[in-house]
Amino acid sequence: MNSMEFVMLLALLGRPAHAAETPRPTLPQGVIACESCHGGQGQGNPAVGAPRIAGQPAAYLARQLESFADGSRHNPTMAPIAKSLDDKTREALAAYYSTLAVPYGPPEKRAKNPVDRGKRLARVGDGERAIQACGNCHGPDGIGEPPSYPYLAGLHRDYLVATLRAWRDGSRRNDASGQMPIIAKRMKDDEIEAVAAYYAAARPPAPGIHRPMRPAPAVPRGNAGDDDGGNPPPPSGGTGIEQGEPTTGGSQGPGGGGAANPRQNR
Amino acid sequence: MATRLPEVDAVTLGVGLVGTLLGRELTRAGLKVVGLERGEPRATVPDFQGPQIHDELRYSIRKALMQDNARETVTFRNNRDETALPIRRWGSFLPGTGLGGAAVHWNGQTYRFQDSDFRLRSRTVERYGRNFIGPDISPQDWGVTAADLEPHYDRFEYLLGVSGKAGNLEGRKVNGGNPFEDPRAREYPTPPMKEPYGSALFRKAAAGLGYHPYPQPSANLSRPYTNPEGLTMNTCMFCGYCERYGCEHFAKSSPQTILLPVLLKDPNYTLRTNCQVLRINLDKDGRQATGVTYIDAAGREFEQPARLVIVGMFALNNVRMLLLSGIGKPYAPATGQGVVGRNYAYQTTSAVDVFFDQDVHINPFMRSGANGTVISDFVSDNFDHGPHGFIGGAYVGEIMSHGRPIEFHPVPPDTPKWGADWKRAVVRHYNHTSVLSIHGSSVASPRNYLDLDPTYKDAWGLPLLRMTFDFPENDLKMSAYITKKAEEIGRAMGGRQVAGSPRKGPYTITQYQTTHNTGGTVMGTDPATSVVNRYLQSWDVSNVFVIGASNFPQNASYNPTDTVGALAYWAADALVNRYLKSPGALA
Repeated sequence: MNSMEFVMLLALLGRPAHAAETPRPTLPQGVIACESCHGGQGQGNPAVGAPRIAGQPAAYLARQLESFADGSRHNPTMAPIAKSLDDKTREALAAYYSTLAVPYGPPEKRAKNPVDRGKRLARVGDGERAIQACGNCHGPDGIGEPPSYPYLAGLHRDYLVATLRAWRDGSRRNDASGQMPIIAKRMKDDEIEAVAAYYAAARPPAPGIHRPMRPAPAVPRGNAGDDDGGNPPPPSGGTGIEQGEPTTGGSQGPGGGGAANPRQNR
Repeated sequence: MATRLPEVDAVTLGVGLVGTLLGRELTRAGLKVVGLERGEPRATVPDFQGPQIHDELRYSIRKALMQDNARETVTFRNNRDETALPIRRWGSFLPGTGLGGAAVHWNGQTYRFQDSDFRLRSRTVERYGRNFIGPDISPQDWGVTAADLEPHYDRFEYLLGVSGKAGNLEGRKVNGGNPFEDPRAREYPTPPMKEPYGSALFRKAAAGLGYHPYPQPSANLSRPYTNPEGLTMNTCMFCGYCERYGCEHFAKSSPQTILLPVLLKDPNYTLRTNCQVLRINLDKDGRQATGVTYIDAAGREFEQPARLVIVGMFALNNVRMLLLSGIGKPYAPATGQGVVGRNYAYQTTSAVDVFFDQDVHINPFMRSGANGTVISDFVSDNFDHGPHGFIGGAYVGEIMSHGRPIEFHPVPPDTPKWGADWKRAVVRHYNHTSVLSIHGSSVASPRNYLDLDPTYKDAWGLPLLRMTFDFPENDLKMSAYITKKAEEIGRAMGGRQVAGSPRKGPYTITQYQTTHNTGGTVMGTDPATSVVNRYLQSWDVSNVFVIGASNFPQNASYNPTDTVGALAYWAADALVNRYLKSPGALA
C-alpha cells in the first residue's frame, strides 16, 4: 500500500469495514477520522464548526496541524488529534486533502448590505484604521495564494467569524508575519461578520477557467487636500505620467542593472 | 492675476519625506504650516492595494508613480560641447511625484554615511596628501560630523522602525553588524530581515575571503513596530514589489505609514495637492522670502505669503526652484564661480551576475527592496586607497530586490539578445542566478553641474533644469577595482560563471541605474563653495531652508535616504530651537 492509500484509509476511518479490503494500518492512539467532521470529501460541516479543507494548499494544511499540536492555534477538538499524528502523517493528510475537489453548496443567503461592506474591506481595506485588503495575500476574490495563503472563498461564514475572532483574541497566532492579529484587532464585530459573509458567498472559479484579475473598484482617492485653493477632485486612474517603453532591461537592486547591465559595455 | 491668500507661518514646497518631517516639527512648535504638493494625494488604502499595485507593466515599465515628464522634465548632456535634450521617458533615474514623494516608491535601504564621508576632503589630505586629489574632482567637507548627526539618524531610524543589526554601540564593536560604522547610541528598532539563500551564500563567501558581511539595514520591517508617533507598521511579506511601487501591507516606511496620518489631523497643518509652485517670492532687496506663487489643478494662480519657506522637492527640483527664484548665485563652469547647481553628483553602480548550476535555487521572487547581506570593506576610506589612485568606494552585496517577470531575466553575456536561444537561457537561469550590487560613491567634478536650459520649457513656460554629467575618471577607476573584488566573491559563492561589468563611460541617461541624484544646493561652512550653511539655511535668504540630497557636497557609497532624514531632523532642530526664537542667519 502506498502512502496515499494509507492516508485515504486514515481519512475514511470509521466507514463500514467493507470499504477496506487491504489490512487496516496501525493508527496512532486517539486518531479519529477527519471525515466525521470535515466530511467525506473535505467539504466541511458548518454545524460542528469544521471548515472546508478540500483543495487548500498542502503546506497550509500541514502547518495548521502542526499549530494545533503546538498550541499556536488553539482548538480543543483538533489539539489531541494533531498531537497524535507524526510529521509524516500530517504531511500526507495535508497532501491528500489538497488534491480533493468537491462542489460547493449554494451560497448562504445574506442581506446585501453586509456583503457589500465586506467586499469593500476584503478588496480595498480601510485606510483610517490601516487595514489592508484581504486580497493582498489571499488572492483576488479570496481564491488563495498557495502554498502559504489559504483560499477564503466559499468557506463557511461561522468558521470565518470564529477564526477572525481567534486571531483577535490571540488563541490563533500561527502566521509567520504577525499580520493577521494586527488586522483582526483593528476590525469591529460587525466588520468581521461582513467580511465573513462576503467570502462565504464568494465562489472560486471552476478549475481550468481563467478569470482575469480586475483592479480594485473605484473609490475616492487618498487624503485629499483642503479646498482653499479650490482644487477639483483629482482624476482617477491613469495620469499623464504613464509612458510606454520597450520592455528590456530594468532594475535589480539599487541600480545594479540586473539583466541589462552585464551586456551594457560589450 | 494671482489671488493673494492669508499669510501663514511656514510653507513647505513638496510634501514628500522632507515636507512631511518638517511639517510635523513646525506644527508641533505651534506654527501654522501649509504643505504644497504638485502631485496627487495618495494613501496606502486605496491607492496601493492589490492586485493592481503589482501591475508590473504599469508601475515598472510605464512608471506610473513618477514625475510627469510630458509636463516637466530635465534636459541632459554629457558635457558642455553637446546640446542638451529633454528626457522624454525616465531611464537612468526615476523622480517621484505625489503625496509622499519618492519615499513611496523607494526600496527602503537605510544606511548611515560614515564620518569619513562627511570629511572627504580633509580626510583624504590627511591620509594621502594634497596631491592625491586630481583636477577632475572637487571633493569637499560637509561642515557636519557623524557625531553631530547621530541623534538625528537615531530619531529618523526609530520613526521608520528600521530593521538591522548594530556594529558599533557607543564605541563597542558588536558581532554581526557593520564593523566600520560610527558609534550609534542604541540598537536598530527592529531586528534584521530574514536572510535569503543567495545572501547566505554571499555571507559565507565574503567571510571566507576575510571580509565583514552584515545584514543590510531595511525600512521594510522584519516585524510589527509602533513608532514614536503612535503609528503601527506591519511585517514585510517579501512580495518583491518595492521600488517603483507603493507597499500594500503597511510594511515599508513612507510618509503614508510613518507620519502623514498624524500630521494630517493637526489643525495647524493644511495640505494642498495638485499645486505647482512656480517661484519663491522675495522682497525688494532679495534678502527675505515673502512667500510662494503656485498654480492649482484648475490653472488658477495663487500667492501664498509665508514667513518661512522650506524647499524639499527632491534634489533636482530644489536646485531648479532656487534658480527660478533667483536665490543664490548660479554656478558658472567656465569661471568656477557661483554655487547653485555646483557639485551635482550621482552614484557609480555596477553589477556582477553569478550563474549557478541548476541545483542551486535562488528564488529571486521571494525578496524585498532591502533584504540581503553586504560588506563595507570597500566603502569610503575603510581601505587603503594609496596604491589605487582614486578616492571613494562602494559597498558590495547580494541584495536582489525582486524577480519580477518582465524586468528580471538574467542570462550569460554570450547569449543572443532575442529568439529561441534567449528564451531557453532565461528559463535555464531565472531561478539560478544571484546578482551582486556594487553601490559606489560619486565624487563631484567641476564639469558636472545643473543649470537652467536655454531652450526647453515646462508646461508653465518656465525653463527646464539642464543636467551636464559624466563619470569622472576617479569613479570609473573605483568601479573597476571594486567590481573585480565582487567577481572574486561571486566565484567563491560557487558560481559556474561569473560576469562582472564595471561602470564605464559615457554616462547613459536611458539605462536605469539609481535615483540617487545629489548636490546642487550643497551645504558647507564657506559661502563661496556652498548654497546653504550647515543648518541648511540659504546663505542669501535667511528664511529659506533647502533640504534634501541636494545638500550633499558629493555622494557617498551608501544609499542617501537615511542621511536625508537625519539632515531634515538636524535642520528642524536648529529651526525650532534657535531660528524661531531669533530669526536670522544661524551661521
